[in-house]
Amino acid sequence: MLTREQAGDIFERIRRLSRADDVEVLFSGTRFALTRFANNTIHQNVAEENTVVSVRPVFGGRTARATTESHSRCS
Amino acid sequence: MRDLAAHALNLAALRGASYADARIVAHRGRALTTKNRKVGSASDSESLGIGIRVIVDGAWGFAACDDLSRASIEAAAAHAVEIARASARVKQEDVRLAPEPAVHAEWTTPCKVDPFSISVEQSLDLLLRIDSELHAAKGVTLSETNMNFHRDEQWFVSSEGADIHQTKYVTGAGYAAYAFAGSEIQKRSYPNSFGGQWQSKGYELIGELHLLENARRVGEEAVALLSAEQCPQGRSDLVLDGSQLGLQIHESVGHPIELDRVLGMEANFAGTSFLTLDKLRRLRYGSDLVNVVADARQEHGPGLGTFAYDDEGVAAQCVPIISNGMFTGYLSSRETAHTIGEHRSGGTLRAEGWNRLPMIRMTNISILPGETPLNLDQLIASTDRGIYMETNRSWSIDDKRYNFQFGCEIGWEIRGGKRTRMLKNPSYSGITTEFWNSMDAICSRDSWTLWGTPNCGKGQPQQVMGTGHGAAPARFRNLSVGAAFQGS
Repeated sequence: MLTREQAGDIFERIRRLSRADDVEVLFSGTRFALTRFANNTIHQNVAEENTVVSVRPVFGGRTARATTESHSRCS
Repeated sequence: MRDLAAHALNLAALRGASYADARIVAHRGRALTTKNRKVGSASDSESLGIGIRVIVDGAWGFAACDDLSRASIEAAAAHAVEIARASARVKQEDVRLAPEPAVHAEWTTPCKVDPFSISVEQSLDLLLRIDSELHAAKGVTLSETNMNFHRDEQWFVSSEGADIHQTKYVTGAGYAAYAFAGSEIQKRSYPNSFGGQWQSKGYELIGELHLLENARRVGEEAVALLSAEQCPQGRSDLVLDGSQLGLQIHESVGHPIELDRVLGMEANFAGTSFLTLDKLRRLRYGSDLVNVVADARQEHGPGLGTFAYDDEGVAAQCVPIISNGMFTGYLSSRETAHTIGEHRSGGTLRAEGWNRLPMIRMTNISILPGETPLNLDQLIASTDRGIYMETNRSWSIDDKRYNFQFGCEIGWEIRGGKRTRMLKNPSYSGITTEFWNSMDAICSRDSWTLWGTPNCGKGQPQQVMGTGHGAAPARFRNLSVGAAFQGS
């Protein structure tokens, strides 16, 4: 999971590289676990860790979005 | 990537897994929309990660992570083993996997033009021209267009020795015109509603769909619906277009044959099935003309359920589901095959991505075309009185997949073998087996299309997957029609 400092560093890098009027970056980290029972047994027992970075630049009032869940690209 | 996945298997085995598989998936997606002659949204996405599935002490465990460092993969594998060990404490019986040859294979969707080689500008330019054409019909209030591309590259390895590398492309596009009048809203879509037509193809699909050529007609039909007659309520013979029949197959054949629903393992989203195990090879599902297959093979066509191997390494197959009207098969996996007396999985286990546990999913659930040459015009010409309905607008089916109601965007009355006045708000309802037993004609191969349903939701957490449904226009006798909109 990204720390606040890591997220801040990534944002600074994006802001330096960007030629957009404005740029918004969303960071989200997930640590998820789920256990499902059916027929008196566990039929699904899962865990996941994931990080998402989503960049939205603004050019003259127009926006687009690029999202990555690739850990190496996130960091 | 293979080495990383193999590393996960080694670690799982060291920690006590009797079986393990690992999937590394690299996903890329693009979604473009326009609305009322302006760009609505433009987004790209990518995702990379690994999912590790293990059996320990006869029970499943699964863990996934997006960090492909060796340390992180080791942690995920250890976590999967720990989860499986916990699951085993309350197991009723050991997981039994049907045997499957471990293959080494490479496969890629036949793709003439990589959709990601086409610029965003070029795609948006086409969508904007379509959007303008929709507004050429006076009275169109709202227009929407979309274009979508996916590319999923997957490395699958298992402790049994499977090593499979697949790359799948998906392209989808469509549009809709809306006409508003007071509180009434009418809509026409092309080539299908809810996102258009989707197939496992490259950008070449966009040209094949003739999107721009049909836009003006679609806009005009949306406006014309406002002044069309209301679909009458009562009993009527019904002719359905192929796209609506595709969704009918999806809801009233595809979902109830999912063996995990039948066995009560996957009821949350949404429900179980009326097709209890005692009905296999005993239930008359439909008339003699009804032949449905679950076919994931490339030779079936570029469906959203086409692949070479499923997500537990089972080769794509064609499973007869309804044969001359008799119910003959379920969608199965390696774990569930033995419950129906099969010695091999039907090859239907798929996951939305690296971070989801694969589950039984529809492949291409298709009704086979009629053998006697017959097109839509000839089918209507052979119908004395009835209603022809086209393009899905709404669907509703109970949690056993038995009682249903569908609304379509547009209908036409059939009188004396001719398509006559336009009807708005057409709908029909029925009971699954009564409906399929009432089918007395289906068009032949020339009128058969492999439709894509990109938005099939199942499981918890929900997994959205694409499924394929080959269908041709068909006729059904004496159905209940028009009830959905009466009194509005």
